[in-house]
Amino acid sequence: MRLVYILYGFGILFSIAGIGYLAAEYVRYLSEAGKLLSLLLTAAMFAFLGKYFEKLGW
Amino acid sequence: MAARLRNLFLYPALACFFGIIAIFVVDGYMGIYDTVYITAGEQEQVIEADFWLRDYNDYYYEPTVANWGEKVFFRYEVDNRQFQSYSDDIEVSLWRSQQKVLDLLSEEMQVASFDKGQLEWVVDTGELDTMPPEEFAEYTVIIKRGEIERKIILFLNRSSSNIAVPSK
Repeated sequence: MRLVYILYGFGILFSIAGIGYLAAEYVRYLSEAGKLLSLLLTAAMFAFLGKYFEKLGW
Repeated sequence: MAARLRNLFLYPALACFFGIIAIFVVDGYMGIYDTVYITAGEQEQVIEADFWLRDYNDYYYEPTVANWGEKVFFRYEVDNRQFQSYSDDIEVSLWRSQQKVLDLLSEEMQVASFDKGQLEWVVDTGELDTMPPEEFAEYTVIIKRGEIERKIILFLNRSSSNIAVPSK
């Protein structure tokens, strides 16, 4: 079971790293308004996800 | 009931995620993108639009080497990925040691929505003043499009002009 969690951990880490790399690579193509809107949506997404996991009992 | 309440937070989170992806795709594609094509001798160099977006690059340092006396051909392409047409003044000049050597082009460019516009000019190195004493002389081609400046370093090579061409 512990191995499964380790593999989950690796999967999550690689996913975050991949999305982070793509975001850093492509953010320069965005306009200033696009950057601001993306930032706001990112903050909102993490806020909603936080509430979702809170309701799950994490 | 608890599951429905949980989903009340999950769906907006998913909507935000897809919103971010949509902004990256749409806003990343939209805009004005310029590409420079340089042909010196038999080699063509392409300076892609994303070069200027990378780390606030001001200068294009990859050596564009031409032999003294040769012509260097430039093609400047502006890709208008906007819903409205684009127009701006394009001024191109050649500089050396912070001094303007000559004006190469001054034209107004008009590009229709989601279309491309092109301008071409030639730097005839044979028409320049006397060759500087260095082996490689550095010149800067400055492309001014409205407020935006693109600077391209041009190396002129003196020594290869002395290379003898074998006769047939």
